[in-house]
Amino acid sequence: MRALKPTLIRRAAGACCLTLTAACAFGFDVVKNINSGKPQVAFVLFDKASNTPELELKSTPGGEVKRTADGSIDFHLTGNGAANPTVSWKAAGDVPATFNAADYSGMLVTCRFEGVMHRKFGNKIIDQSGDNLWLSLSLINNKGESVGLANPADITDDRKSPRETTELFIPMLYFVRPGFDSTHISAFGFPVIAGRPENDRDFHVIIEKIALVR
Amino acid sequence: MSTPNKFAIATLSLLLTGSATFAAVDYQADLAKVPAADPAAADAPQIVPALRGKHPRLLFTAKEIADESKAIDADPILSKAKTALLTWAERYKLQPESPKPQIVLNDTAALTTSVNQNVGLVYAYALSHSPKVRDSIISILKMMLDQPYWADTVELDSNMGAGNNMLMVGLMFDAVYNDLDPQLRHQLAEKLLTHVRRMHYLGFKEGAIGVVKYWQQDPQNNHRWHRNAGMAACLLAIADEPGIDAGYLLEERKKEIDFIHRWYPQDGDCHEGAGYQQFGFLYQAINAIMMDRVLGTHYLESPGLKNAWAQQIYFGTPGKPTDQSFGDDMNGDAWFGHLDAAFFIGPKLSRDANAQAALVHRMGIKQKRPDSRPVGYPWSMFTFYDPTVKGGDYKKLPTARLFADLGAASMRDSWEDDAALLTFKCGPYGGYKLNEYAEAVPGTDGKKHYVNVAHDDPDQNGFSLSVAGDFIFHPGLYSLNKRTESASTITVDGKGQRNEGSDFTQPIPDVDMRTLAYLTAWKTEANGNTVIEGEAGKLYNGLKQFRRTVIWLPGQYGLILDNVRTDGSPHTITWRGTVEKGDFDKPEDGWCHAYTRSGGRVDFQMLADQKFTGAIDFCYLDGRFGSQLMQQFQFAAKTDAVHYACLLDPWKKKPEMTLASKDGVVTLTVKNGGQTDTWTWPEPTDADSPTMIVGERAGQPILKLTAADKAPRGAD
Repeated sequence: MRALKPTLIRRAAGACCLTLTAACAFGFDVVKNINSGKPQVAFVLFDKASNTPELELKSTPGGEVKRTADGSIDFHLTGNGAANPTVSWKAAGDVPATFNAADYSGMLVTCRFEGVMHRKFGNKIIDQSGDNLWLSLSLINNKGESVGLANPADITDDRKSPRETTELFIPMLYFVRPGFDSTHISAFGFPVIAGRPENDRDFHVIIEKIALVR
Repeated sequence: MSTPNKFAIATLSLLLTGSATFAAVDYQADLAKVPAADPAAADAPQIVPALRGKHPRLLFTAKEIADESKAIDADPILSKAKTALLTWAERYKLQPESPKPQIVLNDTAALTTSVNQNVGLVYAYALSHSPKVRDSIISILKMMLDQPYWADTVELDSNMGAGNNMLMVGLMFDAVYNDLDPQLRHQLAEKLLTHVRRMHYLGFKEGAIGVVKYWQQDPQNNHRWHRNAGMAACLLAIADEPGIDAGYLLEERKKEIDFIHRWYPQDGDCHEGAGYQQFGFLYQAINAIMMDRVLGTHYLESPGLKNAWAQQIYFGTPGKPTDQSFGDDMNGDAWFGHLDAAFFIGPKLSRDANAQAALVHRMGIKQKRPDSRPVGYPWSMFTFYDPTVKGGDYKKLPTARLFADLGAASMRDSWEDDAALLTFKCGPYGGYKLNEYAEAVPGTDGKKHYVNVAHDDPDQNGFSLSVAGDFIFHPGLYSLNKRTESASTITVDGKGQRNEGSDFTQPIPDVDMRTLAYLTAWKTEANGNTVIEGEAGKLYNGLKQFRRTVIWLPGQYGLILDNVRTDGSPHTITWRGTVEKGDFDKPEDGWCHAYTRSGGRVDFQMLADQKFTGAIDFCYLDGRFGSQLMQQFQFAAKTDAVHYACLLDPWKKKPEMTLASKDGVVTLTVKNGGQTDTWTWPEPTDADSPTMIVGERAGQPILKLTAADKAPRGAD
């Protein structure tokens, strides 16, 4: 049996008791609360209103990525095949060429989802878009590896892909995982895997801003 | 350990998604594993005299279904089911698919189309004698006759889809046997025999080339049960056909089903959770029905078949169509279907009217879709639901129940739909019966036998709590990255329980897993007051003891008491509670609350006999069919020993707790309304015995654990 140390035991509230053989309970000291305080932006990786940093947009078949008239990034995912459109950047100002995901608590992503999925039932074609469009943001390291996927529908309070422009906090735990090298993140994207042959996607992911948060 | 299928996990995943068709199939080499003839039978089972040469017979005879038809029409549930079934069946038309029907190409189609849907035609025809339905059945049989393979996949004609297709075809052949042209009947009988033999030699005898033999290694793999049901349907439908000598195959079938039932837990429960229990149980039950009817065996006497309903009911979230389960269970909404209906066999066999009432009530909950889409009555209601089991009251069921084979328990405050439900688990991966098998039946290498625990989680001494259908402390999802840190239990120096971190868990080698995590105490009283206690210290590096005692006083409060001792060195012991959202209220007194988006809230108080920290951090619950970003309370102390005491207030009674420690005995004082309860919490005397916790109120005992309350290990 472990002996209790004859020390002064202090409760966090200030109440205390002194004993050689007995101890009263401790409350606890708060060391972290993700629900308190506002996220502190470390740098803005992308803002539709700014031309810096310079972006490199790479489309793939079924996954076109382009800038819209207002400067937003538009990932346009079509068909039912796999696609992997990506966006990388060049260092500029306080935006580094790469960043270590573990240095940040998360990302603030201002985005919305548009579009539908058509599904064939015999001769009928119906719009079968669900609340969750199963589209996920990936971060990609300088070796071209995706280090994780974050589906905004997992994060929103209503568990739906946001159809209105929404600022989402995506915790970095999605991207800092055992077995994945997230020390040099150099791109992001919206990869999709091949779907069923009867499904025909026509989705847009519109991103207005991405900021890294300490 | 015998590990013939270390990499079964990948195959398992592929099979479930039905995507095992990409690998090249060497048809000739595979089929060469099926001998031209079977050995002679030494002691072949015989078809019972009353059913020889008679059809239908697998699930009912013509007379039986005619007699039952009257009861069906008189019963409100079955009459609705009949109307819905006949309406659907009359409209049914086989849709040609080119070049091959999906049901022979992937498991999912076979599960959903062949068994979930098409077997309904069997009952529709038996109840209506409709020529149109008969012709629909025959059109399916002809289609299957034309298919060279019933599972055109790398696991040729022996995968789970093949089992489901065989179940459909066997039941259909039996249903329309008397309507078939003799030549077609003979062709079909030969075809059924072909597939029985392929499944036997390629599947059960492990002849299939290039596949991992993941399901043949232990008796509780429910993919094996799917195949057994298909084998029974086909073989028992043709065993007395002219020119067919089924003696050897019947003998092998009986050996197989004897083996399955030898190792079937008395609880009928499933270590993979309530979701996977449902996935396999229909096949286990329907196989027993067919075998007993046709061969006169006695598998329906297995206690597990009578008791399996309990896991569904006790791990069902009150008022919601979701499970609240451990293991690989998504714990999401799921509507009533043919697999649910199979659990009605329990009260059918036991005549337990309260269990029947509970299943009917649960069916009602699972039939209410928020989008108002109809949820039908599946065909399996006719197989398993007995309308003569009447007069039960589910509210008379005990509110707490132990699942001894698993080391799990469920406790609630009532059977109302807004009840609070707390679940707890501390047992070996796989449960006791499966581990008994692993230890008692050596593998081919002489070591303990491999068993499949792929769907078990490293979450021993974990708990979950729901109130009025809201998950307050979340039960978890079907994770493909199974980590202790996601569960509401503890970690040590940030690390979890042994063998964590896999997508599909593997057995812990070279140790009897029953010695690593087990229950030490179980006590429940008529008023619902319940204590359960688990010991899981050996699952952690650096721990000698992790004793968790859960005290559940319905309508009053709950206590989760942890007594953790390390190997002597200081380690960081982190108490984790996974919630939708949480916040701190008065940390200095230990007060916090967990809450949900839909308005649920439970306050709780956390105290310890060591200085400790509190954090609320993100917690990512990954799920195979959808993930969720959650939050997690994390209370941590770096020490060589700590007592954590958590006071739960699901009933908003605002109890308050103080903790004092003297000479190694912790005393908790809980003020609740005008009452003061004192809990004396000593050290356990050894690693196996209950902690002799005593609770008193005004000098009278509330609950007292004694040596007599030692929990059973296993259900036998």
